[in-house]
Parts: sequence; structure tokens; C-alpha cells
Amino acid sequence: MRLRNIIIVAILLVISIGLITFSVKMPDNPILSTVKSGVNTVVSPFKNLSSIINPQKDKAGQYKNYSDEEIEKIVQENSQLKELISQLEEYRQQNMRLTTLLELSNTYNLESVSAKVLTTSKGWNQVATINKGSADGIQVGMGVMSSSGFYGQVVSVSQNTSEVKLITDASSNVSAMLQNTRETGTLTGSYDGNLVLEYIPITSSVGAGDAILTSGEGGSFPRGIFIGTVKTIETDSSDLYYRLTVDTIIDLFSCEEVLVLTGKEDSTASLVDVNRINEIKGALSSDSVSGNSSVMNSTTSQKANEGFSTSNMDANKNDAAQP
Amino acid sequence: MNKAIFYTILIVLTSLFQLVLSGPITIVNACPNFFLISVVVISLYSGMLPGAITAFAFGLFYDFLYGGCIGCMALTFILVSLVVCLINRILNLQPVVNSAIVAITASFLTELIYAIASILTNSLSSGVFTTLLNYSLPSAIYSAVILFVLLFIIASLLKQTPSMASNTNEALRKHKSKVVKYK
Repeated sequence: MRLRNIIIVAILLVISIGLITFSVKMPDNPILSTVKSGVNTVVSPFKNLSSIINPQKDKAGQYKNYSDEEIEKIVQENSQLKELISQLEEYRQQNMRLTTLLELSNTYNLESVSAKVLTTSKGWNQVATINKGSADGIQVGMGVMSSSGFYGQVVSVSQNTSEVKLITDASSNVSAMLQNTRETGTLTGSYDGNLVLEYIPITSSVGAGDAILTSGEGGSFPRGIFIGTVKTIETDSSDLYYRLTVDTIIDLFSCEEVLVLTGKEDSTASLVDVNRINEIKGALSSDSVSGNSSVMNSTTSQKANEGFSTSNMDANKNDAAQP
Repeated sequence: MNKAIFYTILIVLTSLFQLVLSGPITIVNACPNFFLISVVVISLYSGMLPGAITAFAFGLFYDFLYGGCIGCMALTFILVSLVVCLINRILNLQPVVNSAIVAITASFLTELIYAIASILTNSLSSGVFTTLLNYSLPSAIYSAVILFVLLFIIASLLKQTPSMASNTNEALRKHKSKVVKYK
């Protein structure tokens, strides 16, 4: 009897170790994904209950205790930001014109689905549950954005809910780039809650406060989504690469609403842009013959603006909204 | 109270608490593990095999629920269950001291084994000590406090309900009385 018990316990231990090996070797195995999805479907009503018990913090309430001095400072910052936005708007329009004229159709159609965050787990696995699932077109691997930047990646989908692995999770890996130098590296989370950008060559010029964006490599996420800013700069053990600690603007655990990026590169949008470019080229050549440069410029900028879809405009707005 | 009914209620309650309450009652980074309660209680009062099976089942459920490496928590819970059985055999102290030792050992061991398993499977090279200090230690303390209180309550309940604490003795007593009647 005693021996039988020991054998059964030993078998359970071996199964556990086997499962660990299986999970590490084949993390995207369809069987495991199906079981995960099934478990999440079953427990989703309880998670909804959890979100009712623990509603996310009311952000408006955080400003109640601000002193007059702090409010004045915020008002000043607000006016500075407004000025900055107007400058950025100019740059944005200029950028749109130049991009169109140079046939740089590296623009993406950010088709997205908005979702509510039901629960976030702060444990070893930093995972958020959102209230949209396969019924809303969400699939494993899709990127997720919060209002202030990149949030995470969908790792498991059930019919009405999905699990999103936050970028701060220790097993999260995202290809990211520095906005200024366009150097790309790997952004990883860590158990201590920090985001770390690795493999940035030591020859590149990096400063604290530099913006970090998604690079778009790997194809899972669009390029140019804001992630955070450089907080500290260190060199790694090989002294060949920088190891940058990244500061995110928002607390990922207090996010209420997120956008799941359901669409990737849109070839149709690119075609439309190319057609528009050809039209603009035609307009340019005809106007240069007539010699009316002022008319040409206005036509160019107008047509260039028309050539972008709403979603692309939104994408540019996102870029423009970076600090 | 029948042991089976007690365990069913325990399993249902701990599962519900883990699913519904573990998020809302998180303090900073410390998050209690309610599944551990069922594992420890069943290991203490039913022995190695039921404890290990419960540990395996709850561990797998935890792994599928939170999207970690599948099998990590199952392995952790089984090892903790075995250690709890061992402690239970060795120690024969006051219920308060027993509960405290079991609660502290189980909670800290769970966090430590899971930390090692997670770090090994994620191949992490940095942030280990910070992680243990910032997350594992507070979570272990939190779980230990809850586990200690519940173990003490259960130990007191078992004293008041002899049918549960000594099912075998009760059965023997009934059997003896039947034998006397026949005689």
C-alpha cells in the first residue's frame, strides 16, 4: 500500500517535469492552447465578478488633493504641451507630404478592437484578462495598446475573453527601437517590474529620456508604437551593448481600456497611396510646366493629406502625441 | 461533518477565493495563494497520496489559469505537499505551533520552488534577488498569515467534530457497540 502510494506520487512528479519540458520546448502547442482557452472560458464569469468587486481606480479622484501651486504648474505644462502639439502638427503635415512624395508607403492600417481590462495579475505571470475574445476577431499573438503606448501581447483567447501578457512580464520579448537613432534591440520585462532594452550597440548615441518605439520586426505589431523613455543607461557584461532601463508613462496595472490591434499591414492602403502619389506626380509635372509654384504646393499638400486613410491619421496622431 | 463534504466545501471555497479575491486583496506586490490552503489541509489530514493528487490538480489548474510554464506549479505543490506530510509526522506540538510551522514552511517553500522553476524555465540571468525580495517574500508572508489563521481554525473545528478528526475511532466504536448488541 505504502509502496503503491510512493509510486503514484513519483508518477505525478514525473508527469509534472514532463509537462514543464513540453511547455518550454513547445510553448505554442495547440493542445496546451486549447486547454488554456477552455479553462479561461470556464473561469471567465468569476473573473468578471472579480472586476466588479475590484473596480479600477478612479483616475479623476487622484487630482482631488492637488495644491494650488501644483495646479498652476500643471496649467503651465498644459500650455507648453499645447505649443508643442502645434509644432508637432506642423511636423506631422510636413512628414505626410514628404512621405507621400517619396513613395514611402510604410504606413499601417491600425485596425483595432477596444476592450475592457477585467483583471490584472501581478504575480509571477503578469497577465491581464480583457473582455473580448475570438468572437470579436481576436487571435493569439496580436499586439495590445493602452492609451499611452504599447501594453502587451495576446497569449490566450477564449470565446469572450483573452489573456494579454504585459510587456513587463519576465518572459515578454518585443523588438523595439530608439526613436532618435533607429537602433533596434530586444525589450524584455523582468520580475522586478523593470523594462529593459538590450542589444543596443555601444557606438550609438543614447540619452536619458529618449523615446522607445516598437520596431515592427517580426510582424506581430505595427512599427512606431510608443513604449516608453530611457531611464538609465548601463553597458552589459560584454561591454559591446547598452542595457537600457525603460520608463513607461503609465502604470500598466491601472489601465482600464485597451486597444487590440487586429489588423496588420494593409496592402490595399498601400496601393491607394501609390495611386495618390502618381496623381500628385502628375499634378507636380503639370504645375511645373505652368510655373505656378504656389498653386503646386497647396495642391500637393492637400492631395497628400487626402491620400491618407483615417487609420493612418490616427497612427500619426499617436506618434505625434509622444512626449 | 463528513470528510468528503468538508473537502468539497474547502476546494470550492479556495478556488472561488483564488479566482475572485486574489486580485482585489493584492497589497503592493504581495498576492496570496489560496490553492495552497487546500493542498496543505488535505496533505495534513488525509496523507501523502490524496495530498499529492490534490497538489497536482490544483497546480495544473493554476498553471493553465495564469499562463505560466505548464507544470511548474504542479511540481511545486507536490513537493510542498510531501514536505507538509513529513513535518506532520515529525512534529507533535501544540496546534498553534504546528499550524505556524506548517504555514510558514509551506508558503515560503512554494514561493522559493516556483521562483526557481520560473527562473530556470525563463532562462533569466538578472533580477533574481530583487524579484525574491520584492515579490516572493511579501507574497510568502501574506500567504503564510492567511494559511496560519485557517489552519488554526480548522484544527479547532476538528477538535470539536470527532467524527472528522477520528473517523476510524468512531467507526470502531460503532462496530464494537453492534457486536455487543448481537451478543
